[in-house]
Formats: sequence, structure tokens, C-alpha cells
Amino acid sequence: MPWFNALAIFVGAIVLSFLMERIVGASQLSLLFLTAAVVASANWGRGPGILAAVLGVLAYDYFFLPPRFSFRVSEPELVSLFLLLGIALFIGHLADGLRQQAESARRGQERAQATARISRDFSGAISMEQVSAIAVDGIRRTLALEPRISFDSLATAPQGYSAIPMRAPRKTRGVLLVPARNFGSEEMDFLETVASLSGLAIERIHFVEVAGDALLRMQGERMRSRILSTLSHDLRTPLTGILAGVESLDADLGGMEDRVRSKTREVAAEVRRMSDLVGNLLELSRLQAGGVKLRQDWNSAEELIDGALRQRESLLNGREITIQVSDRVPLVWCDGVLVERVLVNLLDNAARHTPPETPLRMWVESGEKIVRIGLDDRGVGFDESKNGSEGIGLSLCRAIAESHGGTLETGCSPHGGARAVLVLPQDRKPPEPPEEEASE
Amino acid sequence: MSGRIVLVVEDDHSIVRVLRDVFLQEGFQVRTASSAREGMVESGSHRPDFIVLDLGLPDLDGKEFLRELRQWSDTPVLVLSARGAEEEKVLALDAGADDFLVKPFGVPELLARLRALLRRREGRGSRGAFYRFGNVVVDIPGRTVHRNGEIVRLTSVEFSLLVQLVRAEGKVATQSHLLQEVWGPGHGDDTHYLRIYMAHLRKKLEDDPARPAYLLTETGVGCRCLAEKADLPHLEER
Repeated sequence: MPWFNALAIFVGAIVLSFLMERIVGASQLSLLFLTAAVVASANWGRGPGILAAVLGVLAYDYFFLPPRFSFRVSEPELVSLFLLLGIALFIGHLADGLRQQAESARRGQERAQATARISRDFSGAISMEQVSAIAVDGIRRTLALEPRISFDSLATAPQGYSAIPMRAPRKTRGVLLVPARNFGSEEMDFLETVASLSGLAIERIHFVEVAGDALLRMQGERMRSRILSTLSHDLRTPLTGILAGVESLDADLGGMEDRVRSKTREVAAEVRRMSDLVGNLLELSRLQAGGVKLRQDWNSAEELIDGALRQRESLLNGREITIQVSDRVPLVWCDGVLVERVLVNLLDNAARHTPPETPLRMWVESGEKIVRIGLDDRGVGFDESKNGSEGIGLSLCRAIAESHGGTLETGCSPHGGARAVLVLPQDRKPPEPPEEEASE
Repeated sequence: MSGRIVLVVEDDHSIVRVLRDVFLQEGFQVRTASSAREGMVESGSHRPDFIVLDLGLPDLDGKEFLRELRQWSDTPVLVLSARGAEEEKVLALDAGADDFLVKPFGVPELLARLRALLRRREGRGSRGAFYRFGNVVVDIPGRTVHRNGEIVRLTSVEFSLLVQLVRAEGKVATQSHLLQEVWGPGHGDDTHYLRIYMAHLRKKLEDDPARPAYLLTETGVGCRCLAEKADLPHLEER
């Protein structure tokens, strides 16, 4: 087409020259052919420009330079003909350069517009599929290519394709696969820009999803903990009423015989037990629902044992209890409230399954990155026949031990009777408090 | 204790009824409120000597109630809370509660707490110089501690921790409060300091450090020392 256009403008120049021959002199007609050559160069490139220049000089010589209708020329005319050809080629060359610059500026602008459009479309994308469609469409319209996108960042390019990684700040999110060809540096820039914009868009979508999931999980947890605390309040309130009622009844019965009063006391004890069961059940469901954050800090095993014994003072009521804590036992890194709950439940278990006159022994040992808190009784030992139905109390003890990454061991004490041991991992060492002079 | 006014702020009617009976029997006048708003009005108009506050009120968080009340009143407040809600207890204590009782509680336990709080209120006004628990006497101006009449050597940190504990007179001091008062701001999370120094104090002052009778730890909440203010003429006689 450019070549045909060059020929057409050349023919046009001849026709126009014949028409203007009467008005202007033959020498001015050479400018007409020069113009034709420049126009051909500027519009259709270097080749057509050269064609129009050469043909123009020959036609000018043949049709208009005397002797007309002959290629013969005098020597001075020959020089001017060559000059004319030289000027035509030179101007044509400049015009072609300008044309190419304008062309590349236009393509650059097109790509910039395409990039802007793609990034604008990405900002509205909410799925990976949309990102993929926008990138493919943008490249197809700008470079007339049929690219593909793989979200697998390690995908290898198939035969005939080259792979451009879609890099995002956190990691590569996939690859852009384009039919392989020799891309100019600007085209390559464009493809890389689209690839990294796609990576960013995918990463944004990924984090939006992550944030959404986290929000859902948080709301779920908040809801669960609200339900559990409402349940806990609602279940305990009537128990509180019953207990206070029974105990004030007990006080009213001051003058009555012991047979009646022992019954009110029994009711009171059972209400307390019921309340403990409710507490254990709620705590167990909280732990089993997962996502419980332990409130771990430094606790003294001695204080936890004492706390548990004080909570069960009335139940243990005068029983002989020995406590063995070696001086070398360091502080224990754990959720003190939960571990105390384990000890309370172990005490409950031991107290209910052994005769009230038998002694209990609580002990603490520290080993390599481990602390063992144990309770030995002198009863008949754990009832193996009840396997699998050890009760809410012990299940909670196990759940608490496991939430700390530890275990609850149950078995026989070397002194006869049952032994239950809470084993807690200890990975860290308590920091030393600041040195202090031993004065005062 | 006759003539004293107790205000019960609790939304469960059966508990209110039982508590009213118990307190009436003990010779108190009883006012009741079933919401925080009502409780605030009651405590303003009747000036109770003692408030029993449930933390699970329908209209206002019990902690908010405490904060508001403490702006104009120092009436002793005993909060009722559920077991396992240690965080809630700490917040209530920091908001100005004097003590807490775990639901369900026994009547003797409730009355014991109530008497302790009222006794502490009697002696309120001036900070005591001498405190006593068991056979231990703490002489704050003299910076000395006697056990069975003999001086016990304490380090300065041990002594300032003990002073914080006895001045609370049986009230629970929260862990972060003790840590900040004794070790200074910025040590609020160094719970191991407290564990180590409580062990020192028990070893020096308790008959059986493993089963302390006076220097008690409320796991997850704080520490309390069952100490009372004491006039000690015999100390001055020395």
C-alpha cells in the first residue's frame, strides 16, 4: 500500500507538472517532484520516499528537461539533477525520522493509556478471575497478542511462550505467559508493568480475603465468648439463690436437731458441686472451641497448690495433706488460673474417691524443660473399667494440659493408690529480678 | 451492726430476696436496686454504709458503676462475680471495688467479708503506723518487722512490698498495682518479681510457708495480707 501510494503521488506530480507547464518554467517544476518525494517519505516511510525521489528525478529529466522526451542531459543539467536527487533523498530521510518519532510517541501514549486503563480496572477487581481477564484484554488490545495468565508462580512457560513473573511486594503471585517474539524494549516495559500491576492486584485481593476471614473468626470468637459468659452468669445465678437460701435456712434451723440440719448442709454441698460442674463444663467448651488465648505468666507452683487447697478447704476438711516442693523448682510459665483449676479438679477427684481419713500428697518436680505437678492418694487407684468416661473434671484437666502443650498422666502411685500428674513444658527461664543489697 | 444500711445492687430477684433476709437478720437496714441507675440514685439518697454489687447488671457495666460511684463516695463495695472471670475482678478492683466474692457464695463467707470491710472502714481516715497479722508486727515509721517479738531482717524491697500489702488491710492488691508501687512504673508485667518476693516474705514471716495463713495469693488477681491496724503501746515502751 505505501508503495502504491508513492507511485500514485509520483503520477500525480507528472500530471500536475503538465498542467502547470504553461504558467511556471521547467526549472520550478523540479520543486513539484521534490515535494512529492518529501510527502511520500513523511507519510509512508523511507522506501516509498526513495522510490518517489528517484522516479521523480527521472521523470523530470525525461518529460521536462530539454531535449524533452529523452533522458539525454547536458553536463550542468546533470549536476543539478544529482543535486535535486540528493536533496530529495535527504529531506525524505528527515521527514521519515520525524514520522517514526511521531509514530513511536503515538504508540507510547497508547500504551500509557492502556496501562492507566488496566490499573484503573484492577482497582475495581474483586476476584482473581477479574484480574486475569483485565490483564489479558489490555494486552490483547494494545499489542495484538493473546497472552495467558497462570497464578502458579512456579509455572514454566509452554513451548512458544515466554514467562514474565507477576511480582508483588510480598511474593511473586503468578506468571504472565505471552507468545514468544522479539519484543522491543518499550513493549517489554509495558508487559512487565502489566505483570507487576496484576501481581499487586492479586496481592490486594489476597489480603482483603485474609482480613475478611480474620474478621469473621474474630466475630465468631466474640460471639462465642459472649454466649459462654451469659450462660455462665445465667446458670450460676439460680445456684447462688439456692445456696444462699439453703444456708440462711440452715441458720434459721439453729435450734433444730442435727438430722434436719445435716440435710440442709448436704443440699448446700451439692449446690456447690453443681456450680463447679457448670464451671468445668463451660471452661471445657471454651477450650474445645479452640482459639482460646492462654494468659500465661510466671507462677509459683507453691502458690498454685496453696490456692487450690484454699478453694477446697471445706471439702478436704482436716485431711492430712503433705506438700513437697523442692527449693530448686523454678517459677512455672503457665496460665495460673487454669492450672489452679486443674489442681482443684484433681483434689476434688481424689477427695471424692478416697476415704476421708487417708492422706493426700502434692508434689512438684522440675526436669529438663519440664515441670511435673502431682497428686498422690491412698485410695484404690483409677478405675480402669470406667475408661472413656472419666468425667468432666478430668476431661477439663486434660484439655488445659494440652492447651499448654503438656499432658495429664494418670496411673498408680508407688505408695499404692492413684497418682495424677500434670506435665507442663518449660521452654523459657524466668529472668532474674534486679540485684538488691541484703540490708535493713 | 444495727442501724447500718446495706445497698444490694443485683438484678436477680431471688438472690435479692435471700440477701435481704440475711442482712435483716444481721440487723441491717436493707435497700435494693435492680439496675446500676437505680443503685446510683439509692446510694446518693440513702448513703449506705456498704454496697453489694453484681457485675452483670443489665443497664451499665459494674465497672462503670464503680468508677462513677468513686468520684463522690468511698463506701465499701463488695462485688459478686463468676468464677473464672479473673480479668473482670482485676478491672473491678482497679475501678475501686474493695473485695470480691465468687458466685455461688456461702452466707457465712459473705458476712465475714462484710464484717472485715466494715471494720476496715471504722479505722479509716489516717493511715496506720502499726499493723499486725498473726504473731507478726509491722512498724512502718520504725521500718522494722517483729515476729514473736524478735526483729526479722527484710531487704528494702521486701519491706516496701510488705507495707503495700498490710496497708490494704486484707483487701486484694492487684498484681500490676503492687508491681508499679514497689518496683516502679514499667514493671507492671514483671509478675515473677512478685512471685519471688512473696516467697521470701512467706519464708521469713509465715509458720508454714507452703500453707500461708496471712500472706495469700489470689491466682490471676493479686495478693492480700490479712493484717489489721494495731495500737502498740508495748512497742513504744521499749
